[in-house]
Amino acid sequence: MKKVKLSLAALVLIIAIAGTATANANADQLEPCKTFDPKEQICLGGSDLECCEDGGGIRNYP
Amino acid sequence: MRNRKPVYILTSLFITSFAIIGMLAFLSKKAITKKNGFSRRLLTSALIPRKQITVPTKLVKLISMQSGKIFFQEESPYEILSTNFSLDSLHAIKLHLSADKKLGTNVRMFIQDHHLYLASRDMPAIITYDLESGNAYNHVLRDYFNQETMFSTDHFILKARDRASESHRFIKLDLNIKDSIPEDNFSDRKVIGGFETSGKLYYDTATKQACYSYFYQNGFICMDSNLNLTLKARTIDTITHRDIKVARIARSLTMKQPPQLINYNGCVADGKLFLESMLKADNEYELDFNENSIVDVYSLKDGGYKGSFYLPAYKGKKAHQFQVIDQKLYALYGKTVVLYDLEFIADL
Repeated sequence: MKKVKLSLAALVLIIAIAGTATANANADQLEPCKTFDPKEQICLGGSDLECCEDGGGIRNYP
Repeated sequence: MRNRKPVYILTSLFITSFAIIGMLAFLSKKAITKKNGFSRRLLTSALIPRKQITVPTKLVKLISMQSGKIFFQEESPYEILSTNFSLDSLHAIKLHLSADKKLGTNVRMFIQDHHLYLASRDMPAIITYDLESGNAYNHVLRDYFNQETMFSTDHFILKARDRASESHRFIKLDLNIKDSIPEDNFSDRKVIGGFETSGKLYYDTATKQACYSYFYQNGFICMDSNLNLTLKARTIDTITHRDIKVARIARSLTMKQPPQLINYNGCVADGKLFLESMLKADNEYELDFNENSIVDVYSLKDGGYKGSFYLPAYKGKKAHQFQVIDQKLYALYGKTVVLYDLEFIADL
């Protein structure tokens, strides 16, 4: 019984870690240029000059 | 007699100062520093402002002209402005769109009859808005895009990013057909990111071509509405290679350093491309080039260079967008629109 409980706990932990990692990856994908310009100070958009791009979109210079 | 001496000194100093200023101005006109290896043929001495209008908010784009009206896009996507051809009147049209964070500065608008199209690059989507009923419909797209042009009702050509290959290519969009989105067959799928081929997309109704001018490399291309390449032309500069280094930071792509802009703003009208060059010709004066925007004119039939003209600055600011309509040039300078006559282009 103890072994089963331990296995279940390990499984829950693995699923939680995997879920968090996937959610973070998806969040990065949804927010364009999050890794390059996390504070949104460079690629503010407005002009036609491309500043940064990734799976979340394309950002231009102001 | 002694009292007159300071007068002589002051007069001579006055004359000398003017002579020095005159000589410096003459020398600055003569000083042609950096050679870029090409020359321009000026079509006219200077454009003369005919009319102007200042509006309450900064203008982003001249959307279109139709039924005797000119429509302008503001920074806010929730209102557009309209005026007549001679810039005498001004009307604001409120757009009843639901507030969306992604409906910000990366929106470009188009008008056809009573339909307003909002190409939202950040969504990515094309929103159709009925100016009569106020109804809006959101056409969500699969790929992100950063250039767009409308060639007929509900039909667009976009420069879009392919999610799998990370390359950019032109796609044709029919808002009524969602299943099939044709792609061009000439874009290089090995070029990662859109930086190297960054530019501006236009549609010329006279030649029925979508044309694309590059920011960081020589030349421009044109395609028909089926995305077949119809013209590949060189611009007058002598740039032969693009010096762009792409950097990958985690999942994001950016440029390692800002490259030299070759051509930037532009517009098309009546079979001609009007392209603002960022390079000084060898037969130009530094002062003229720095204080004005130089616009080169090309034929969209054969790509030939027709000549150039200076678009003057307004209150020290260069135009951030311009459009040619019926031999008239409308230039946007922040909140101000200035109208210039462009009659000389009729002979080109």
